[in-house]
Amino acid sequence: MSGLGGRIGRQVVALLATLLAVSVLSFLLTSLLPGDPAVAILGPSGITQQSLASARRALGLDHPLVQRYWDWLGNVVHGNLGSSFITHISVSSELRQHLPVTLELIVLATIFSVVLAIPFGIWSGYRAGRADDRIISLLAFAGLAVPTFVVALMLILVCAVDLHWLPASGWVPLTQSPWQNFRSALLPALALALPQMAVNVRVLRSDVAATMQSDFVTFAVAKGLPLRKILFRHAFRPSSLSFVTVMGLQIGFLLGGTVIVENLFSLPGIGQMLVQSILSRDLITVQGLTLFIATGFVVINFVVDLAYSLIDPRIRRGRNIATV
Amino acid sequence: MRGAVARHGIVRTLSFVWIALVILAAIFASLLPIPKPDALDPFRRLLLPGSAGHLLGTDDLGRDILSRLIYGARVSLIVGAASFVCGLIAGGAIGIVAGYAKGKVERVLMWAMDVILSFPALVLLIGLVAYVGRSLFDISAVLGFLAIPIYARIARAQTLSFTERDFVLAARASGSRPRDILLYELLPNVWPPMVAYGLVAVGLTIVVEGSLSFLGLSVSAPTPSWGGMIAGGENYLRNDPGLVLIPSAVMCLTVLAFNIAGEALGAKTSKVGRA
Amino acid sequence: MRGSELPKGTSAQRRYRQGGSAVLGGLALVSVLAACGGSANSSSNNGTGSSTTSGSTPAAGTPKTGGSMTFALESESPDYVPGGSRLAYSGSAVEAAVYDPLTQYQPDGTAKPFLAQSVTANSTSTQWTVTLPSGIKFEDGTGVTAQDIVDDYNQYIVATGSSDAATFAEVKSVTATGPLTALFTLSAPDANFPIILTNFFTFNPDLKSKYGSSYGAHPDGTGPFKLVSWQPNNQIVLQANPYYWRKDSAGRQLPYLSSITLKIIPDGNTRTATLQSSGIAGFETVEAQLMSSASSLPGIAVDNVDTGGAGWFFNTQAAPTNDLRVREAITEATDRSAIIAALGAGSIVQPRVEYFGPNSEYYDPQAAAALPATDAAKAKATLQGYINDPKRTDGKPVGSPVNITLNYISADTQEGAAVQVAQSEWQAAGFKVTLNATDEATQVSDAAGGKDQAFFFEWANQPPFGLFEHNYLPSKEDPANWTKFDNPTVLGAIQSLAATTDLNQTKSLSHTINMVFAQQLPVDFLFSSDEGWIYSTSKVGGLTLTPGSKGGLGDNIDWALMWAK
Repeated sequence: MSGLGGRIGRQVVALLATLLAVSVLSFLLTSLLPGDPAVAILGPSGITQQSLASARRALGLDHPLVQRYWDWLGNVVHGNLGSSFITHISVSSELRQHLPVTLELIVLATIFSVVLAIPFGIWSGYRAGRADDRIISLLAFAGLAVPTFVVALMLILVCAVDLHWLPASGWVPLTQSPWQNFRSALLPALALALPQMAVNVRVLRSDVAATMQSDFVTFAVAKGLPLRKILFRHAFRPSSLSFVTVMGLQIGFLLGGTVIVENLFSLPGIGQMLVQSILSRDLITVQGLTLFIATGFVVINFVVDLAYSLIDPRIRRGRNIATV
Repeated sequence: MRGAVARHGIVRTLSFVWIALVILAAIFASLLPIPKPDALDPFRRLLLPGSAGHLLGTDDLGRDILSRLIYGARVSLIVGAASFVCGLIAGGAIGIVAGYAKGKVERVLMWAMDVILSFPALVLLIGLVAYVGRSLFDISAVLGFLAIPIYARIARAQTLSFTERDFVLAARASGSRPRDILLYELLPNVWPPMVAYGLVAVGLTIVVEGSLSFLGLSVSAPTPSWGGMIAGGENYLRNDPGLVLIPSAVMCLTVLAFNIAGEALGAKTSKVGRA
Repeated sequence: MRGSELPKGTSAQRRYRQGGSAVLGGLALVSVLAACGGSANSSSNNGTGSSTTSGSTPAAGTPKTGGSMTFALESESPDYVPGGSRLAYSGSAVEAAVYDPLTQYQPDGTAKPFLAQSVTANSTSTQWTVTLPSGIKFEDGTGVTAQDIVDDYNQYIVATGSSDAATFAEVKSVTATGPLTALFTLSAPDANFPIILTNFFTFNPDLKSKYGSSYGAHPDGTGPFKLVSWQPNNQIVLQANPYYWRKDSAGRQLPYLSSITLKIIPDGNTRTATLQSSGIAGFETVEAQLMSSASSLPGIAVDNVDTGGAGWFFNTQAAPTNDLRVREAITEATDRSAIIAALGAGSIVQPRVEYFGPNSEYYDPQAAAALPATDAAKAKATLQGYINDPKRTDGKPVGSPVNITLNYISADTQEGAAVQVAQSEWQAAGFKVTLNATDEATQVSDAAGGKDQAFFFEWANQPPFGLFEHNYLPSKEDPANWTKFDNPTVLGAIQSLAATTDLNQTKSLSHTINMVFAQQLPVDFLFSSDEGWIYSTSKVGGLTLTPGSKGGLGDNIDWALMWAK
């Protein structure tokens, strides 16, 4: 186990270095964005020479870049992401407000995509090369080919406007009404789930197809075990590894990738928060969010990688999530 | 069994034909008997498909939808090709070197790739686009850059699986220079799966560009792009659904075709690899 | 510049808290305003119902007390307390619910006391006394005093980084001269100061001590509603303010509604979809195309107001737009009817050929006629004059094409349509036009810094002084002089405008300025920009706009008078 411990230690160091690099890059990138934050805050009608100077002072923009980064980093090390340029509310409390929405979307989308993908993926892998596999694969590719925003537009038009089944927009917090919350999250989660589901079907299919060729499945078939048992116990279980990895990657990407869906369905998630803070040049918020999302991405992948090594010791060495 | 093969053969053939069609149309767009994509006439807006002179009708500014689809294919294909080429060359080089060199070089290279990957793509995109601009070249360069890490990871994984193989070990033992091993032993084995992934990634990049256009972050007007056409038609979805549905359909078909082509190539290369 | 970068409609910031900073001197005609203030006391104090509804459709049916209503807004504001960041465009609808301004615009461009009982000036218009009526209360029941006005001003309005400071830049100090009288001392005379006070909301100054840095989320004003919960980017829930001071014409307590929910729905298509699927009773928008398409839906009504105008703003100090012939060629090439047709809102949007719209008290037909008429052939000829001029300002050789870059905000569909038609029109005249997609922060920064050539800009209606004063002071000192247009005639007229409250004199000074614009063309006027309220007629009763709305001034919804059917 000491080898694993050392490996984890090295990875944690690399992980911290990654996050540090992300923070430096995002500080540079956002601070050098064209468009003056003071102008963004004051708006065209609030601009005078005096008000511009006063706003820049209030934002600390008169300090050199390096000093601003250093101050910011000092705060982050102490667990303080700073306060928004614009709302003066701490970035972490704004995150607390917006994160649950995005997290719930991600969780729901992942559940939908997995639940729907498992039967199709396994069947497709079992029937690899046959007509039903071809059809499932074609549908999966089609799922990958339809952009999320088109799916979202159609879901709103059909399910909300025409059929009146579900609300077209808005968010009801879970604490307020679990049922209404589910209704408000259903359409956006479906829109997000579609491409994920397609990927999951493909991953499962190829894994199951490969496992089906392996000796122990052949043996199980020869033993006359029932099909369902073979598929789920012998073929699905080994493939679930790469499945977990792909899901980890997907969740990581979704953390910063729900913007369009949040915007179309008017959901107060971190995607909207991110975009608004970029547009209003709320640099502290952009900075904090970037670091948060990057951390989420890195940590999820790290955990998946770790779980992977624990489940299957053979790949403890050398194999990285990227190789899947 | 034969029937199934024939069926999937048809789907594959259709995919390649569609891709070829889209590429040819994009290349020879200016020779086709269609109006210019930016020739607008606000007084002949929202014409229905089949109107005189406008096979697929006109959009909200009175521009020919067919022409914008065809010229829009340029954006999608160029962006897709850029990510393919950048990914294959830069990502491939980084991945092979990392996989072969191992140790510190590998760690630093892959760490750099991780930094790009873990950076929220939207922030990176908005930031980069703000500096470099919104021309087709700029957007292609940015999306190409963002494609590098994934290709690098694939190339590295492939390289790793070959470095311990006999032919590489033999080449090494016989004193071949690392450059030769990389170029003549590893590269021929590493690139086929990358190309297969690349075709799928072309489709993915087309979707990403569409999303950027939809957010108003891609190429400046009046350059037509499929995502931009969909975004522009959004407000007309109820009464003139063609504005959204036609470009959506073309985009989906194209991405689908690239996915199927990628899979077909993937199956082929993995067979070659096994042999 | 209305608008929004991605996602569409988000942070749609177009109209801002209005006002000009009068830093220029002049004389004042106080008597008119004093009289105006005096006469308005009684009517505005209990004045509600019909007396404040002149601006819009009369409410049909009998108002019902109680009930709730859900409306949608285009975008969220970072906070709702004056002195913070500027509001998003639709933020003013929230402000209208929780605050009362001291004065309120009238259709003729004057301002009458609203929350204030009277607003009177000294003989030189340098000192203005605002008297509050007694018995006005904040949401928590404490009485409003003049000291609150003083504290609001000192602790919020002019705090460091305040977006409202510019509006009140002419104010030197505010002091309480009695329990209910506050004295505004100006650094220079301003006869039209009551107009500035349309932007002054009286609110509880304890917010900062009570809530610390998050005070912006806790507005506490004297308005008809109070904020009870706010989920940013999702919804704002407002409840009737039991202490509200207004009653309707039948003597009933206002507001009628017991609660309002305002949902934030950035995407225009989704907003219409939510209205159609009964998720909301109505919404607010600045997208004319949405107003136009919604007006054909059954059971849906559209109330829209011409709130300002849009045009191409040229940098008159950078080549090639620093040459009059270039601006003239563009103006001649501009076919407003084509641009309006492209917006898909022909019945809503009207052409603009000067700063003021035809509904405005200050509409100037002579200036309208003086603007170079649309003439494609003439545009070509005019541009040829520049192209073949050996001393052309862009330094390029004779005969080479004129390059021009037009900045626009890419996620705003209306703006996107306008610039694309413009590109085609300008190119037909011989220009080589590059469209530069950008976001608002960049576009305004570039314009303020003179780093652009031309951009799309929308201005909100104001009486002449506020309108011109904000954008045409010497460009060296005024970053908001977007066109960098320094003209002594305009400057002189602005100075004189500060000193007059006489309508005819104001009109004549405004005419002087308009004529300079029609000849020098720092702006190519395009079309009216409208704000619309789109609502279900079976649910919404008494949708009333503020009195100034008729003239497109300080337009807003009067939430107190809305009732549920």
